Amino acid sequence: MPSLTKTSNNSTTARERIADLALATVPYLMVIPGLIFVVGVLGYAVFGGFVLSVHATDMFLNKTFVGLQNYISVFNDPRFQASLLRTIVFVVLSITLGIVMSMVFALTLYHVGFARRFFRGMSLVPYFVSGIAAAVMFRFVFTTSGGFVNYVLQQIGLPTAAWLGDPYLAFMVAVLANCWFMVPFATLILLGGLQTVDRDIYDAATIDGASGIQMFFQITIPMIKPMLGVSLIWVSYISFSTFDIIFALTAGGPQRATEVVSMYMYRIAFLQLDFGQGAVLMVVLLSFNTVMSLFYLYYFVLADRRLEKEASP
Amino acid sequence: MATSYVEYRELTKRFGSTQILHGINLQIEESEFVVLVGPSGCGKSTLLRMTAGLETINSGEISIADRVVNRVRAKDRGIAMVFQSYALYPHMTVADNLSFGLKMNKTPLERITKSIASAASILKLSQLLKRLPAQLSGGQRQRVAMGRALVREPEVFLFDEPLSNLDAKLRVGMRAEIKALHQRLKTTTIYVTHDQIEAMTMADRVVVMNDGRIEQVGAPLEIYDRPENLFVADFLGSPAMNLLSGKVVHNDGRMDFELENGIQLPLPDNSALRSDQQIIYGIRPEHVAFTDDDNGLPVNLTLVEPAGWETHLHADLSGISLRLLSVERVGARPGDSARLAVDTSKLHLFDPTTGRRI
Amino acid sequence: MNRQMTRTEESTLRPEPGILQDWLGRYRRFFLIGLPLAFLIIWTMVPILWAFLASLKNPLEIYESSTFFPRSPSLAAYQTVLAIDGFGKWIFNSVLVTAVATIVPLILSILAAYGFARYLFAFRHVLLLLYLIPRIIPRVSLIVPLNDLMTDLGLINTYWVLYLTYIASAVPLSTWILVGFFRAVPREIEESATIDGANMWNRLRHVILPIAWPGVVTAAVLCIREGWNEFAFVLALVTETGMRTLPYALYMLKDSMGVQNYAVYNAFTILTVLPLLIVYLLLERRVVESIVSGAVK
Repeated sequence: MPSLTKTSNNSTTARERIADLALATVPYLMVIPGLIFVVGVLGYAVFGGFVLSVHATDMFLNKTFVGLQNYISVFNDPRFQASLLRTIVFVVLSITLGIVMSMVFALTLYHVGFARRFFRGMSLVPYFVSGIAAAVMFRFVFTTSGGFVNYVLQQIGLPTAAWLGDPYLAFMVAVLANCWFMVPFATLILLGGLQTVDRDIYDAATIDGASGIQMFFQITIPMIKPMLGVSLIWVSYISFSTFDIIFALTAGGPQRATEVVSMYMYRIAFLQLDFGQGAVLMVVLLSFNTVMSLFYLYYFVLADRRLEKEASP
Repeated sequence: MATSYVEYRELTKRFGSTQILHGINLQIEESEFVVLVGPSGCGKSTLLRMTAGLETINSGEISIADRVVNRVRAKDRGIAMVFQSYALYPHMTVADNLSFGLKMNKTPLERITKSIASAASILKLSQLLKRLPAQLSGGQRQRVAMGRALVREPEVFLFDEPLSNLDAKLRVGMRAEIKALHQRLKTTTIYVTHDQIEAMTMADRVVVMNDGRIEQVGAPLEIYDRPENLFVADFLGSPAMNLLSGKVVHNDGRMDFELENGIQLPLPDNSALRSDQQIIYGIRPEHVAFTDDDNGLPVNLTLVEPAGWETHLHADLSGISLRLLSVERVGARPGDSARLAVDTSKLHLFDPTTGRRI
Repeated sequence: MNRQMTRTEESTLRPEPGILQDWLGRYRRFFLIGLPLAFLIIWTMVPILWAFLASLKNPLEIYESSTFFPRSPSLAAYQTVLAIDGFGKWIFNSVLVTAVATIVPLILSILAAYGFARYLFAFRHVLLLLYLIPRIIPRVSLIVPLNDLMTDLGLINTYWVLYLTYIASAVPLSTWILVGFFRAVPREIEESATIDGANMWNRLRHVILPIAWPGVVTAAVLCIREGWNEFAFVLALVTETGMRTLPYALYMLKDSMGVQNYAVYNAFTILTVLPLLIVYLLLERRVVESIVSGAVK
């Protein structure tokens, strides 16, 4: 410790203290402005949604507190139960089909020997097509007269179908359109995962006598688990909150065959003008999505340490 | 105050609850080349970064050219720093890399042009000014990093392990170049490395650090020949010094050193030693030699490593391992037995409890 | 060498590989890569291509569904679209809202990302979490409370309602992307700039942003995408015809046009998609690289 006879060099003057304080506020000044928007709009909306969900609203948006009445009404509505079940089927089908397709495409793009950049760039194109436009395009691909699918079926002499008129087929078309929109992004995430696997590992496995399929399941899949998790989060998130595509493709029809929770919510809130019950459905969508995301994060992406404390210098 | 140019007074540094530096005191003379050396984590880089103004100071003082710089910003301290990774701006050409600092300090354009031209010619970069760092070899990048420091015309050069990313051959070349540059410019230089060869060959004075403390300061050979404590004795020198534990014994009025296995080694007359005193007996590998004398220490060779101009040997002395260095070709093979002699004039004796030289 | 290690492989080796094996090799590659690749191309391009071809056909031809390529390609449908009353206004709305919803979030998230990437400050993990949580909130779920909130504020049918909601939903995404890119810039380079006398703004401008430029481009493209394609918010918060953006206008087209206007419908679709696709194709390399490298999640 410095001797007492020396002027102590650790005491700071008032001016220096103010300078230190100003310096310490810099990161907050950088971080806060964006947060004002995020918390002010999205945070407030979520908060407002919870508040709204325990109120009844009339046509003039006057609110009366009704406790859990809205929740009880919504959960007892068979139409809600059906839409929830439909959503779960939709999500499960979309995830299964979406992940299989993403994996096949990713492997294809990984192995393709020519025009790699072109194929990669092309594969992402649907990601940039709006949900509405994608829905309109799928309408014209599957429309009964003038649709691409029926055109092809007709050309090869097979019977055509009323794809969007039949409840089951329309549901499948909705799943396909949803996949078309969400698969490209998941594909590139998985492709990124494949590229991180060291080729020496495959060589070593070949020497150990592993077949291609064994290698895929025992080396590739475990090694790209974090990326698999990320693409699962993406695919589930998109499928669960799907709205634009179904809204413009089938609007919930035919015979409510594609009325998923988000469609039901729109109907309740904006057509029946029951904002209280609409807000209950926000809570439902939010909770399902949060639980799902946390589940995936827990199981797949723990290896991603970006969120964790970085090692101090 | 002394004529010291850079001075550290009771400097301490903590990261959280970890004490990195425990009260560093050091004075560096003008135009001196000082090398801070020590194992990784000893605090040498932190000390350098504190000098540069990249780390805050918890207590104590740093002064440069008789000015306390604790609260002076990095750019105003009159220092320039060369980083281990070179830290070149990857999106700027060599010329832009060199001129960035001058531009930031609003130097007139003609002065910038002149400084760059002179730095480039000193460092043989004139042909490369239009290139990007990615288009340069490791040695060239290293030169650009030095050039960037040079154009700042600093009062103190700071080097943070600048050669550790180069391959062995380039490292030797750059070592000489840095030394030559210093002899030409006479700028005070503080150089951090973990490589003892760099420390020995480049320094006017070496500062050996360990665990946030300075272990010894001195001219390279002075430290090598007279390490003040066990840490320095063990750290400097490759292969490392033999450090043997045992005690002092009296034999017919003469003093000897007895190893734990009962074998005795000669001791020079030393009035400071008492009988039965526990000591550490240090002898550098090059001071242990083969002998034809039948009284020599009987050993079995366990490992022979020819390294070209010298040979490293490991010998077993009844369970205690000894390292030897021979500059002559050795015909011996592992398993051979031999007799060794120790040059008692080159002994280093240490107190095992304090670690200090006796 | 390897063959000697595994005996089984040696026994399956035929003395003469012959033409048959060559064929099998090619055949295998064709099935494993060629077919999926063909499927990928068809799957990706057919909806867009079909819409494009339909936009060039005459309405009756589409309905008959008897041709793949248009018999006599015509741009008449595009002329009709451009002549739609309000189409110019919708494009203007889309461009304006997208521009604001790109530039403002970029500025905000560059600042925030720099703060998160380079400063150690109290509560930074909590604050970062506040930035990231919105990314798992389905946007469509917020339309009910947002409509309520914006009605109270009297902002329905104004640009402000779109600015606010779009900025708020773009900031988390671009901050997340940029934090990763900024952290990847070696700290030493910035320290070197500090010694060279660059203050925070100069470091950001001359060092961090140029080095992390691919990240900025990626964040910008994704912000543009969000703004240009957004539907749920504009549907819930805008009712006036003159305030619609292109996706909303496209959706409403179904109601305002009859079945016989399929060509126009498709032309409209192509026109709403095309500007964003051009932006993407111009900056494709950066965006694809960023996603593949795992920087966008």
